[in-house]
Amino acid sequence: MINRTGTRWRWSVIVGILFLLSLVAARSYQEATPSQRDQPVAFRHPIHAQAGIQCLYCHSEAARSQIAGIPSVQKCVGCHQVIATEEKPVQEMLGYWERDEPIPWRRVTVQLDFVYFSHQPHLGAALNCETCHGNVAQMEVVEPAVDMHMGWCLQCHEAQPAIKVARLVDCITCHK
Amino acid sequence: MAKEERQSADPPTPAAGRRWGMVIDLDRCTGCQACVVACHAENNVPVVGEAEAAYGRSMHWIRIERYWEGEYPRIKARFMPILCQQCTEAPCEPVCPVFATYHSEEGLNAQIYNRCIGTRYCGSACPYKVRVFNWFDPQFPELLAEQLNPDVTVRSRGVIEKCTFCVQRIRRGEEAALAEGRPVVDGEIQPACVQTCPSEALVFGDFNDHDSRVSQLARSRRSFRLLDQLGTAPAVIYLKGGETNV
Repeated sequence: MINRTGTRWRWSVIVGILFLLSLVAARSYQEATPSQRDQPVAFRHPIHAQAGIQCLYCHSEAARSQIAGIPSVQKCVGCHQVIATEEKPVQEMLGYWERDEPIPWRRVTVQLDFVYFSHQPHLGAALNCETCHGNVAQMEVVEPAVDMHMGWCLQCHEAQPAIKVARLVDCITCHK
Repeated sequence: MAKEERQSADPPTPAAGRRWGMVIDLDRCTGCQACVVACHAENNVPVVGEAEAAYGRSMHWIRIERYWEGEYPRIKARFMPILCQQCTEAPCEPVCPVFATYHSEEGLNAQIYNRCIGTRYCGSACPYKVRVFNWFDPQFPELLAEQLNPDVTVRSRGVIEKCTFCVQRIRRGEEAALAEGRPVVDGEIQPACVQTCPSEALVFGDFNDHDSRVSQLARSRRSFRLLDQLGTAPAVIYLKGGETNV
């Protein structure tokens, strides 16, 4: 009887430690891959996509610069002054607008410092946003759709017309 | 037509469309070091400080070498900016065991930092001594860290770095031209040193375009290449004529 209590006690300690470890692991995983769970405002891509808003309406910099850009609060307010003003996330966003503060969005897709990437030539080559970012229009929580490692980039670059390949697989095209 | 008699110092042309190169007019250089400062700012090159520099660990992608000519009081200083010569037959390239340095299609001698393992063979092989090694993690003074160029990675400890002809500016220029559906115009792309030079001693352009300003200048009878006898065929051509900058 004494023995069994001891075993149970030991087991509960082990389970407890494992539980704490899993909490730590989950926390560090979240920090490593910021997702929409950690966003300051519960923004939902699907509801906007269903309303027929194109990616480039909000991420308009993608067509002409390196970064796609996260829209300014002003752009949100442009519609939400009159649309869905009773929703809680919208009211949170309007709070930022009234306080004259930017929303501290967290980037979901991040390129490493030694990689040069520009959206503009990729859109210029008639690529869809979905090719690299997945079907964000159906993602309640935006997560990176693909692991953007070099091999993944190259499998597309190498498949281009022969005249372009030499340039597209050149190291300094993407490494800076 | 005396100009045509001397063999011009045009580098051999690779198969690709462009051959980026630079012409440095030593008769115009005043040794003001503005190019050095511009290069540090553009390319996130750390300033190592006096103590480390005394160990020979100073880091510059372009340096000004000073030569005294004559004896006092009939003495004059001559200056020579020295940067990576982007050699066509680069001695640094075959010695790299991991292919971190290689020749690009456009004739650039490229250095891929995250492939570099820091053997420093390339630095030893380079006859111009323009490759510098990161002995420590780079440290920037408080305010300088705020102006780091996002287009250029900050190199970590243990890798060699060198002049890239501001490849980030070449990329930008080419992408801008492509987006507007036009060819790159001569003089449109300028590395930071060329843009900064107050006496316009540095000129950058495409040697494969025979009408570009660098091609025209390279045909001058004043042209020569640094350590030409080594057969490295540099893409940097110097101009120097007798007494012109007295």
